[in-house]
Amino acid sequence: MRASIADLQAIPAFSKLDPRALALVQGAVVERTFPPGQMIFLEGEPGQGLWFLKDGRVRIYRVSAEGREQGFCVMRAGMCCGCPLFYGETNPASAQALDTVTMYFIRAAAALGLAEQSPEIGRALFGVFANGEKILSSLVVSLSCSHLAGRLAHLLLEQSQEPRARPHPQSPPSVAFSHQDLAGLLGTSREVVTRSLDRLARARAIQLGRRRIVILDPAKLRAMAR
Amino acid sequence: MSEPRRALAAMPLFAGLPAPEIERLGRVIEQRTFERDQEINREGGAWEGLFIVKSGKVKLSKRAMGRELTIAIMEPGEPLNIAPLFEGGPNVFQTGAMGRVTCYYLPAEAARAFVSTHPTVQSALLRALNVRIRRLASLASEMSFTGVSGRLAAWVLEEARRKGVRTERGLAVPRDLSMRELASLLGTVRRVLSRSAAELRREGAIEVTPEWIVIRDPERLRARAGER
Repeated sequence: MRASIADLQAIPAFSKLDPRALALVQGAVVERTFPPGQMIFLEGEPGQGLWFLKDGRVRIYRVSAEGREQGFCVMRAGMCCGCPLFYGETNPASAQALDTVTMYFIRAAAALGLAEQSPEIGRALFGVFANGEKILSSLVVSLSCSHLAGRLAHLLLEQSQEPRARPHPQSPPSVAFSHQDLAGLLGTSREVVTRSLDRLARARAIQLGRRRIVILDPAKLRAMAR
Repeated sequence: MSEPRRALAAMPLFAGLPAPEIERLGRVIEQRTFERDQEINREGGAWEGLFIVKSGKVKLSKRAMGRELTIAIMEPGEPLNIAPLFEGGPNVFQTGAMGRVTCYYLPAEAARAFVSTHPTVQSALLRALNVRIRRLASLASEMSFTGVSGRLAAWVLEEARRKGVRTERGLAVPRDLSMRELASLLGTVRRVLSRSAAELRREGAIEVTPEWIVIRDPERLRARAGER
């Protein structure tokens, strides 16, 4: 299916492109939909190209030789993943749809071709990669913090910065994750996540609701992430 | 082409640029020299421009809970902080000289102007970012999946592949990093690293001399690194 110009402009990486560049992107993009739970791409397989998320959430993770999972990030609308853009490289991680997900896909060769044709698109792709570098380096820093409650606090703080975490300006930010989602993201079991969440709740840093975690005290959470 | 221009043309980022373009670049690019342990870029500080290692080695790191976590060691030809090139924003990484280092330096405005008008340089930088993303992704999974001795084993094997020297006792890797530097590269502290090195030594996987780490049992080392 073809993406509309308005939909493409809603993706931050493309929002500043001029009409000519947008039309080029439109010609190269394919829209695809995935049901919840479906795999979008697999670790170790040849990278096909870039995926931009239009709707829904996508989990990016890796699996160890012993079958343990390590979550990298949860992609939200507007974000891009699929960095193995260059010839002959494999996906460094797997991606799975958490909800019904709509994505825009651009083949690697097409993306590189566009970047050469239009320096403006090249700059847009550069921004996408720069963002990927930022996300991963903050993940590596959080992983070096070995206790789980700290990593959990770090993740909740990051997610609470998103606009969707604060539907009403008056209410405190909250994050919609099941304990299972969080376990996958942090590479641990649901039981351990539940215990760590209880610990943060007892410290009054967060409040646990039904499938929502309300951030009560960001400063306390920051202290616990250290 | 003059000697300085030839050196510039030999940088992978500028490969394939026609001589007049190298000439133009040569007029705006500067050179900066740093002494051992001197800071080049500050993490979180304003991006001053594009630094490319000309000679020596540069440590790329992040602050992590009061410790320093080394992400990569940059060698000649590699660019340092590049993410803020077009959209601005602070330096993602702290960078520091690991010995005497000379860098090419293009101030922010000049870098933006030059890269925007030279698509081959722009795609080379995109490629460099891509490499760094992959390095970060594998660092993240190593940190979550393998203990320090596993990471040390993987590092020794990788170094052996890159610059191992064949000796009577086995493939040897030169010890050109201090224990503190290696600990930071493996995301740990010196004390834990020494313990892990002792463990691999006891198992007969490696032998450690003041100058070398010798691989005595490649099979065992590979198993420790989680390679099959």
